[in-house]
Amino acid sequence: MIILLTIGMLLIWTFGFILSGLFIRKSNFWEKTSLGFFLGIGIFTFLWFILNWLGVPYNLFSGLSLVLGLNFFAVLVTRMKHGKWLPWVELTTEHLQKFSLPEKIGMGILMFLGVSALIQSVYWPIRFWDSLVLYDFRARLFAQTGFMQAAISQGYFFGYPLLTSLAHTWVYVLGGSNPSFIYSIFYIAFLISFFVNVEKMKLPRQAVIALTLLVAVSPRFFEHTQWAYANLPYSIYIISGSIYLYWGLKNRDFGQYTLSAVLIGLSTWARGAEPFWLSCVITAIVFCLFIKKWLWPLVYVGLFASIIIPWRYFQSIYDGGTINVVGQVVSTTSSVVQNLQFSVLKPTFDFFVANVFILYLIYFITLGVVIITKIFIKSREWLITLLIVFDIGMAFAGTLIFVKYIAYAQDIPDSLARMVMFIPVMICFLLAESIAEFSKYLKNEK
Amino acid sequence: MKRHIFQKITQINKFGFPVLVAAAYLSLLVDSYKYIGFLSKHTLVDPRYLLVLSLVSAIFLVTKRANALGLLVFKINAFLILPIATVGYLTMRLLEAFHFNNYVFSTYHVQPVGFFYIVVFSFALAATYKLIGSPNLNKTMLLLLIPVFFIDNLTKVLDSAISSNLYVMAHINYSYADKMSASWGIYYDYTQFIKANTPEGSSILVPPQGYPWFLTGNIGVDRYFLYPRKLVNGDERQPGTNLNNVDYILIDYGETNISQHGFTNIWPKFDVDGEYLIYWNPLDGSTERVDNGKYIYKAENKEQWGIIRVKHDI
Repeated sequence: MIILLTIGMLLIWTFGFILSGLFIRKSNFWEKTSLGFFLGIGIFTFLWFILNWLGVPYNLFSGLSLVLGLNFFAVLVTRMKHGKWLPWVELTTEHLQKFSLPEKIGMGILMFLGVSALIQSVYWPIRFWDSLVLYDFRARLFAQTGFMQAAISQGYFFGYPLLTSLAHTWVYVLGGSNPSFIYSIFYIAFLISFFVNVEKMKLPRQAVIALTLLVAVSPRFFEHTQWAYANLPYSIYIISGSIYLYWGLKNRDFGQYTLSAVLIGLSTWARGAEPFWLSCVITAIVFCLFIKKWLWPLVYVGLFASIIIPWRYFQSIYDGGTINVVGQVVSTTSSVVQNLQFSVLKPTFDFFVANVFILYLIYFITLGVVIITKIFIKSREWLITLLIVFDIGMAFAGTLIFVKYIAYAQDIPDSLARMVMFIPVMICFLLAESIAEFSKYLKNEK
Repeated sequence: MKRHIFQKITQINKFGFPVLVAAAYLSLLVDSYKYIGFLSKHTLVDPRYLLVLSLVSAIFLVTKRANALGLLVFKINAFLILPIATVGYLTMRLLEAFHFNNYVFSTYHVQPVGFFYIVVFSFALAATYKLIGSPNLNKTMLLLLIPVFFIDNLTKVLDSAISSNLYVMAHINYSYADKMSASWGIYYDYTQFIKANTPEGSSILVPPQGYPWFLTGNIGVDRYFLYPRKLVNGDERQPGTNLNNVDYILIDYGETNISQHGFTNIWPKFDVDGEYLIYWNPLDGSTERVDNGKYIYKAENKEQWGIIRVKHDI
């Protein structure tokens, strides 16, 4: 059982690893490793869902055939594109050389947290409310029946897309009994990804470790390795998508730009209700106009749409939802504008302050300090700041609608706190970017 | 002018540092004895601010060559407070792992998470002391300020990881049922009793949704443990559905004593013609079967758990 489970998960990772090489050729081993998991699990579950919709059951045979096929396809495309069978890999060891005392402490804490997350998730079965009621329940029925009808007939199905449920299903059909470990892998892989991306800013290693530590202890992130909710994968896809959009536009790198489109698309495959993908899609379009890359937005929107549309179409067939994403955005925006009355704004603002600003206070203070510093040094790097401000605005608008239409909204403040748990991590990335920028500014001043 | 102000701050910091450290330790101790937030509520001084201020002061002191008093504080911290605080904290968390959550606070009136702030503070001071004389000290210290400002998150997450790991060590042999029972309490055991006494595919009437049946009355949760049984919510004082379509009815005291929508403990609050009844004792899991049993609701608040096999009209 363990061997099959390990092989099954490794095949997912190898597919993602090879695929990541197609997007970012010159990335090191660690970056490909983290991306390998995000891309692998996301694309595999997405295609498994499409195949099931076409009549292929969820079982070991279909899963293995799909993942082997995907690996073969990724190798073939790598060969065609780069002239080599496998992606370019650079296994750097400079991360591991000559640690100072603060670095040793920082790395020690990071490793302790990663190992602890893994221990906890291997030990504890799926046990938290939403994961039992929804995500894992669907997964068990998929694994038992091979199809989605049984789970659909039980109700409470269409509220959330299937990424995490199908990841659980994959573990079950491989003979595993506890899929919780997936969330720890998400956490560990993301810490690696964050480390690598901050390192690209040429910051001292101590700063990179300190900033990664901030992400590791950011509120909700660690505890969600045990919860088996979709919030952690969702947050990771949104943050990674934003980071690669930043690199793509900053370095005029089409590979990283399109990688962002895939990651943002996969965020909607983890959770469908939140509109935070909008900030990345709009930014990806508008900034391309500034840098005169006229065709890039078409590719971005095309890739993104190819991931968001199928689930929405499936939903519209069985549950009467809409696939008209643009129309939904327009109607939601007009609903928000119509609700801009003081009587609704005041309680929404209080609710937002109590459950978002107070909880993440230190991060919002940091955001304020960073913005002031950027204005002071006349920064030209505003992309991440804009994304964060846009996301905060959308979170507030979402809360406005929630408070207006859902009577028990005030009773579930935790949902709001979970929904925006990616923002503190985005602020950590912004902090890294502004430290790098400020250092450059000081050097120039001298 | 700038240089003069800087020298003044350095001078003040040399004497302020021991005072700040003492104040931070004292306030953290008071908070861990009462509750986190006690001092900030009554004096508007949050011990965590003192902690951060002390660490900033320590970092500043180390970069400027510490005086004898400062060095003494560092030494007392590293060789006395740090070992005692670490051993004390781990002992508390071990006690909780082997007894129950909140055992230390309910027995000794000390909050382990509050006490962990002392450990983290002490550790951070010791690490700062260790850096005296290392190269590139100013740059290192500046970067150390980043995690210092996030020490609250760091402390909470580390405490959560340590206490959870100790729990796992103390209960390494737990089975799936033990773990679920530890997480869901009586509710999980009750669902296992229901599962053992009803065939798959049977239909079961459960209490209405709301406290005191916030779990057993929630079909969404029940189905995870009882699928493929069909579950239907009844009303509090009547079945709310044709009993000919129901195979079993729960006898459900309720998981809490909290009331919602006017509901009170014990369900069903109506009589049921039963083929048989099985009572379940949540303390030891024992069962008692009563054949040809009719369930008669008595308006007394007696804790009862079990299941009724409904007698159908022929």
